[in-house]
Amino acid sequence: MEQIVLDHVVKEYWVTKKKKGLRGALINLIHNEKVKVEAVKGISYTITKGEIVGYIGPNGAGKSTTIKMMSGIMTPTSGQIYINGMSPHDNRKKVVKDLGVVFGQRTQLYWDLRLGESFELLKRIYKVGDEQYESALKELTDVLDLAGFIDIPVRQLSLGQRMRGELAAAMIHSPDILFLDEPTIGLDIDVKHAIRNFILEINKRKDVTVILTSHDLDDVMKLCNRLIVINKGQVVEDGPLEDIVTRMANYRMINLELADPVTEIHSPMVEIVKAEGRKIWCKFDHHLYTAAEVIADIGKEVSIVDLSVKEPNIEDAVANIYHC
Amino acid sequence: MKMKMQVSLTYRFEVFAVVITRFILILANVFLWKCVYADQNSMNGLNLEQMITYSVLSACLSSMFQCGVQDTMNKDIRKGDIALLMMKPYSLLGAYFAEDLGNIIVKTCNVSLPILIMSVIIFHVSAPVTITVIPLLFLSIFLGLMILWFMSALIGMLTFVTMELGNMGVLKDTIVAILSGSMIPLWFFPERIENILMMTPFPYTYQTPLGLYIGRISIQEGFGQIMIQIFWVCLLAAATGYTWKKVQKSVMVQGG
Amino acid sequence: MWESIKHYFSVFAFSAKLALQSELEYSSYLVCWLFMIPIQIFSGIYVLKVIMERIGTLNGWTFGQVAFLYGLGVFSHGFQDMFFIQTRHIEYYVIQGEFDRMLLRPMGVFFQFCIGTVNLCGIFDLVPGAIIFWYGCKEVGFRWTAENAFLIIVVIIGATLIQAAIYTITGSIAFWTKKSSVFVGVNLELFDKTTQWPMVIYPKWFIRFFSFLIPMGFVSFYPVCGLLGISSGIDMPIPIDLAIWTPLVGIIWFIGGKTFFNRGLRKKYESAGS
Repeated sequence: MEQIVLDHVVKEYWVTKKKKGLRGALINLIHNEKVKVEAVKGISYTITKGEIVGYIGPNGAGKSTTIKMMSGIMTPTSGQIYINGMSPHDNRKKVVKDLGVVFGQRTQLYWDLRLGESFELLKRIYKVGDEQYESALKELTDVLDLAGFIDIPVRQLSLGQRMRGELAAAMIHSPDILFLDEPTIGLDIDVKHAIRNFILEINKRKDVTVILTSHDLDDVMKLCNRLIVINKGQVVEDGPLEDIVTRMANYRMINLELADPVTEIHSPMVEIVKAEGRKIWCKFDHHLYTAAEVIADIGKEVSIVDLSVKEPNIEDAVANIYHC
Repeated sequence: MKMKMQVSLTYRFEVFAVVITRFILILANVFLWKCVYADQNSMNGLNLEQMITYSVLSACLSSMFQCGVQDTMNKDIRKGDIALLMMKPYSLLGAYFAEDLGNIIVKTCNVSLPILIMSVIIFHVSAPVTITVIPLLFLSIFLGLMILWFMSALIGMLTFVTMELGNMGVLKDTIVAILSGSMIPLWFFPERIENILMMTPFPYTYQTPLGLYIGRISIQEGFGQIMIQIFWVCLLAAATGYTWKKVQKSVMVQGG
Repeated sequence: MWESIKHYFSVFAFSAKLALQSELEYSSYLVCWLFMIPIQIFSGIYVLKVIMERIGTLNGWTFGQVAFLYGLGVFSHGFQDMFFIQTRHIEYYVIQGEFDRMLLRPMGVFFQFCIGTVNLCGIFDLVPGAIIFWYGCKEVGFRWTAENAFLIIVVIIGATLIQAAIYTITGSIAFWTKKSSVFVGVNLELFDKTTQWPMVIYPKWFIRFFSFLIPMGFVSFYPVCGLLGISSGIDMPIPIDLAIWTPLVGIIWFIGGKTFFNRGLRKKYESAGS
């Protein structure tokens, strides 16, 4: 079922160019020069219910802008957006009722209130029934481990606590779509794991659609089944994650443990990355050779005791995509 | 100082609005006085024209007499930057003063001058009562400014003590506005109150230059008041210097 | 419709309770305002007293009537301070992108914006204002009939709405120009001079401007004229010296202000940062 549809969405806005120096300031008094910025240049894609989509791109590519347009915060300059069949611009209140949004860079919580009080306020704003609220709250408190700080004012929370609070706040009203914009930024590994598990859980149990923006490609790797890459305001890749990575990453790594220490391997198929005693790390272009061919070729020169072949690396793939 | 001028110039919209605000104040005051003087020619030794002149110039002065140091210091202390700033290789107090001076020059050109010109065109603002008064005028304005500036600096330093209680600067500004004769000349107040107030530094900030201008204060009286101004400037400067030294010491010890 | 009103009210009540709570927790900064505001208010009326002692009446108004007006003006200013202080900070919210949070919620943004704060400082206006108003009441022999009490209440509500509307309109300019906090100063000055001094001191064109273009006259001047039976001197086809105009004007302007705000929000708000 088509849940999120973007059709040739464009976003442009005007920025004032400020001149430098005292003279420039005087000129600015009379005349302001405006420059057009094209943040999003015609993006189209369709997302079906239950997908977890990784939405990535270099800084300034237009990711946050798209998410803001989808959540009704910004209006597209042209093009259409449909969420559950409705336009977030025309039907903001209806669309937003089923939406949960987390912006890593800014808080959606109420700064002066205790976390629990924020939840209570949201309960009333979203008109969540008492029973539904109790069970959602209990579940979120358990999964995200909120009990320790639910009575602390938001402004006093640590980053990890706050992010968990944000996620909970986004889920209190049991939305069926979740937009996560840099949700794990600056968090330690435990919290990241907790959040990842949480996302997988709700996607599995409640079929919640998730769009995830993250610079942490580990997050993306572990959670997403589909990848949309955007660069300079346009979609450059859109498809199943594994396909893209396999296609765009050039190299795969092979870790070898040899019978005798060796400093170089003559096979033209591989390039040594690191050598330490009997262990060698090398990489091969998997578009040119299969793993089997490479192992066979190496095996001619040296005796292999143990080996492991790594999947194509997402960082590699993405770096290549960005540079296209 | 140049940087401050640059930043100030950028806010053209703000400037325009400030001018309008001030002008509204003057307008309302002038109408009030016109109404008050409808049946009288003179009150407390002032006629309508003098009163209007007084009001207009009072508004001009209040734009000029803005001492940002109390807010800047308040901010620097609360944010904890004060320790770092004190370590810079120039006198911090001097830097605050230079910054304020730059602001004042800009405000004078941007705000005081326009409202003065508008008022001269629209109302009957008289020229200074004699030419000889003019140098005294400048002197007393400068001294009035210094009095206010030192008071601001002291209030700014008060933030060390009252951080929790809020910005005392606003309180001080209110008191100054009332007691300095900027709203209405102190000659209107009952004599007892007027006498008490004349023992504080406040009237010597606005009322002295304004009184000289409209001639309510004669040149001899003017000299006397200027002497008192100088006295207050020295006293406040000493107090400021002394307190500043203590502040510096305590910051160095505690690390801000 | 009724459901919607109940919903909005319950959110408002809860939010106000929380806002009040957090104000009380961090209230030490209020100490300054505790002194400053009453000093300003009382010295303002004192200045008028000093002047009026010499001239008897101000264009026909006695000091008691002036005090009545002054107190009422200050009192509704206090109400505006308490419940609609946010309207003065629109520029900040625009620049910092603070409306994002509100746009994500299924309720009107303007509503969420206004209920965000309950400003305890408003009390420092209410109490002195009430005192001066009380004094004025006694001086003019104001009779507290049921009708008068009702009128006073709706006048205060209307006056609050008018002032909130003007702040909202001037503040919403920030959606287009990113700068509007400058008007706050202008508004404050303007409101003081038109609601605390009887507008009879101003020339007719001034009064007309500030009645029909910017409805300040309705905040305290016209209703007081109506309540005390003084003529405002403005002749209109329909009698204008009636207290009942104030709440009506207030509601109309408030709706206008809210509409303007929403227009700016939908058309021009660009959020902030990346």
